[in-house]
Amino acid sequence: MRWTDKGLLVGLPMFFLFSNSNVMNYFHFKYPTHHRQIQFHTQAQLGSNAIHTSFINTFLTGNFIDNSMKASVSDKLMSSNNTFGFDWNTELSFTNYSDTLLGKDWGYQLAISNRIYGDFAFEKNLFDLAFYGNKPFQGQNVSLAPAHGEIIFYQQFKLGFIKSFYAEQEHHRFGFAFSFLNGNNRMMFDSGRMNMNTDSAGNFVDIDAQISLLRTNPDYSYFLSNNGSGLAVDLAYDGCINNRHNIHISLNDLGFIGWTRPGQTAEIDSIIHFTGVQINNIVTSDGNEFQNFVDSLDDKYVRTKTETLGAMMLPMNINFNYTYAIKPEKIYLQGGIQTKKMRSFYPLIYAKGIFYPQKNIVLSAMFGYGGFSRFNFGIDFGVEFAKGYSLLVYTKNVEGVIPNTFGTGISAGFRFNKSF
Amino acid sequence: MKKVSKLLLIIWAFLLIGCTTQGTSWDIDAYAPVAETTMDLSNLIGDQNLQVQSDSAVWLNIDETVFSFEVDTLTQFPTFATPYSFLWPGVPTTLPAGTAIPTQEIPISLLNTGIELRELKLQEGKLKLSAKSTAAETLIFTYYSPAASIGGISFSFTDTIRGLAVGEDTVLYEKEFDLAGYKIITTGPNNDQLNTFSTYIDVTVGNNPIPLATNQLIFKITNELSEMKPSYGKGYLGQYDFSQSNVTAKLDVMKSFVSGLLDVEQLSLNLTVHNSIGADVKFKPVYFTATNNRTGSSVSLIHPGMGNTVNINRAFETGIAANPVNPTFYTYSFTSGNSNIESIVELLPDEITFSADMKLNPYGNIAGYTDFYYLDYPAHVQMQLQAPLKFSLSQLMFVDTLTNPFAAVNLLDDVVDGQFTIRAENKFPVALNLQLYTLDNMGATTDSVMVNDLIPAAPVDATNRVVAPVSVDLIASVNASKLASLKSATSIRIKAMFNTQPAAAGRLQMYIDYYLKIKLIADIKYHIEL
Repeated sequence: MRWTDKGLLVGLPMFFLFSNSNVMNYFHFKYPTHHRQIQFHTQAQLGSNAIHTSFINTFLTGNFIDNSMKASVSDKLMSSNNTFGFDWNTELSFTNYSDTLLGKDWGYQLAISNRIYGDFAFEKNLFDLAFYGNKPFQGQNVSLAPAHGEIIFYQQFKLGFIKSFYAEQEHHRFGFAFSFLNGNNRMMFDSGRMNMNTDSAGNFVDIDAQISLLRTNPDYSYFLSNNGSGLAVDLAYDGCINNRHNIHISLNDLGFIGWTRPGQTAEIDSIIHFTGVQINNIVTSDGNEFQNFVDSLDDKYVRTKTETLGAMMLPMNINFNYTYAIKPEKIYLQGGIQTKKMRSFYPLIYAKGIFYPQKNIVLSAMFGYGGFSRFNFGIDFGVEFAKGYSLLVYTKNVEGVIPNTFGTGISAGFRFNKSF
Repeated sequence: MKKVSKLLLIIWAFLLIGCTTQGTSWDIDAYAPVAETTMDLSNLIGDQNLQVQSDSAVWLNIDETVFSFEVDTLTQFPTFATPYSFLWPGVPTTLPAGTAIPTQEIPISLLNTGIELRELKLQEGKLKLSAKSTAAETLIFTYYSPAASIGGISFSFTDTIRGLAVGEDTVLYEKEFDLAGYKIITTGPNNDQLNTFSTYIDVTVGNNPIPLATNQLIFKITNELSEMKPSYGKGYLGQYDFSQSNVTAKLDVMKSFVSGLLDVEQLSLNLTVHNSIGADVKFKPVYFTATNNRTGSSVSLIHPGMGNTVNINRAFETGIAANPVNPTFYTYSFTSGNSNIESIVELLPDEITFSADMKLNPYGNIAGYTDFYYLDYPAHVQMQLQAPLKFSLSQLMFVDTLTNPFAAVNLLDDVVDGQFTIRAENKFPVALNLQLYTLDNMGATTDSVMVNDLIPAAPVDATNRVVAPVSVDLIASVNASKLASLKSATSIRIKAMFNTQPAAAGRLQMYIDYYLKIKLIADIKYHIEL
């Protein structure tokens, strides 16, 4: 391999580098002399390995969930390891691929982003209890655990450095970035044991449960406030062996947030035998027994603490893909794998076809398996509407655009890009 | 191309804004106990009113004060205000600094009380001292009363009134003292009067001399005694009349028993007049009539004591602080042998009317001003009722109407339909038919709640004693139609009919192990909305 300095020759059709998305920049190759870009990118995706989009759509649009809708989900649930997850990342970045102040072929990136994750894993019984009630379980001892749910909000302030290497036909970029993280909010529910027995005659309901709950200080949980701080590292490589073979490898969000401001934890590890609220003397009852019972539950079974919540690893993201130019600047094929360290995210394996019907329009179609959902049928539509200005809208889940009982994922992305 | 871009932005915004869980809802089927309670004789009647025999049979044993006599001339004192002015009696002069003006006595009269007191002790009371000084210089004064003391220490207070400032003609001074706990001897400074005690004021000229003219007003004082509530009084209490004429007492709880028969036995009632006042009392019960207004029936109490006057001697002071009164008593005993008391109880009266004459000191001040009265030990009538809890009930109907408690219960708003099971475990030999009716604002019945309404009596053995409870499920339907009636009802009517069983056994003795356990179980479709 021979490394030469050929100036800023951007031969790569894609450029991901620090992006934790697997959606590339489509028009970068048109302007080999452009070495700066401003980008706004937001992407939301949610999905489940069992809950279909019709249910998700009904749930998220404030509608009534009828029994047939519940059954269409419940019948597809596995007895265990059902998942539901989402993320919503919004980023504003400025990248200069070549800044002589940093040295020859060095560049940098500045970015701020808002990150939201949700990660849930649950048993079929828990879903059925939540949506059908406990009557279907009368006379049964059912396990509702393990169950886990977690939502995280934070902001990321990133400084990345890029080193480019150029050869006649080869082009390699390495990048590393450091991020300061501003943690807003973390809420978590976790249960390793949760058994319920509803007496067939209705005389009692027994619950044997171990449940942990935590949440950060709610007074500091809003946007840009600080409940804790953290650091993260991104590592990335984009390579073009020749004008047909391109590789991207990246590791994003390797880091942690230390939730240093005291938050609230609650621990339940008890057996509850509930036979009804006890009214000791109905003649002298003042009707406060129900409220007293609720208060006593808190006193007897819930151990609450206010304490620092420790450090939490971020949901690390790993991307690898290979892009082959069938007809450079016209038709490409891409295959890749992406994974996140979340219970609800399965390694996403995908293949994508990219087609430029005109110089300033791109269409792509993707098929994948994994991610938050199971099947992923994606399309991207991009347009360069002025010199260096481009817009991209995409979804990885065409199958979820119209609610149905087959698809289990919904996603949408929007990107504005200006290179100069 | 710009149009395409705009369209894409609009679609994206629509997707985001369209997401809301507000209004997301579904129904669940809940099946769980809601509440449970056990009614036994202890919590129905109260432990203190029960006496358990060796065979576990229960007797009623009620011992309660049913009437207290209050001497309101002693408990409600008026306000006393005593003004006093001090004029310089001598020739014109200048009093040097530090000169003591002769002590001024200010007598306070309690004549308006209507009683002739030698001594009293205050539970509450205020003394307000208002002074107006016309002196040009500061006056130092001590205000005191040897007749008023607390813990053996006489009342005394020292303060200053500043002199006149330029342009002033009067300096006002006010101070209020709390007299709670003070004992006041009201026989005057020489112990030869009644209802009188004195306060005194010593005045000294301050740091500068005061020029005075003859008859010049130096200061004016007003003593005001208010909010006085004596805890004890001694003297002559007067001929107070406690008589109660044609007094009517409503027994509202009995109004709900609209029909049916109650049969009791061996009822014994003692009414004891406790005279804890240090004065003689003359007492005459005039009449006592019980009325059942639902049936229009009345029964007057027949007893040898009715209409006869008795004299009850005065109580004595023991000298013991913890128990200062030794009262005297007079007891009227009512049994089925000497009265018709059982008929009165079995009448299920909702109204009692009575008249009684009672007079204090009917023979005047024969004790030489040694009458006494303790606020905490009023004269009263004590009732002692004893009877075996043994009765028979036949079609005894209890009907009561209460404001619909479910109208304000939001929880019920989310019940779609279903039923509540009232699981009853009854160990009383009493059958209970229970029904709830919803009423509209005109009082018209709109619906009934209970699908089945009978809690059967527990069966008895050969000795007419229950050995095992009986269980039954009553169903209260809350289907959509009944739920609507329940939510819209203005009031709820409870109708319960009691029958002791077997009826042929007559009166059945109640035992301490009898109970009625009720568990409310919800079997409902519940609407959840985020």
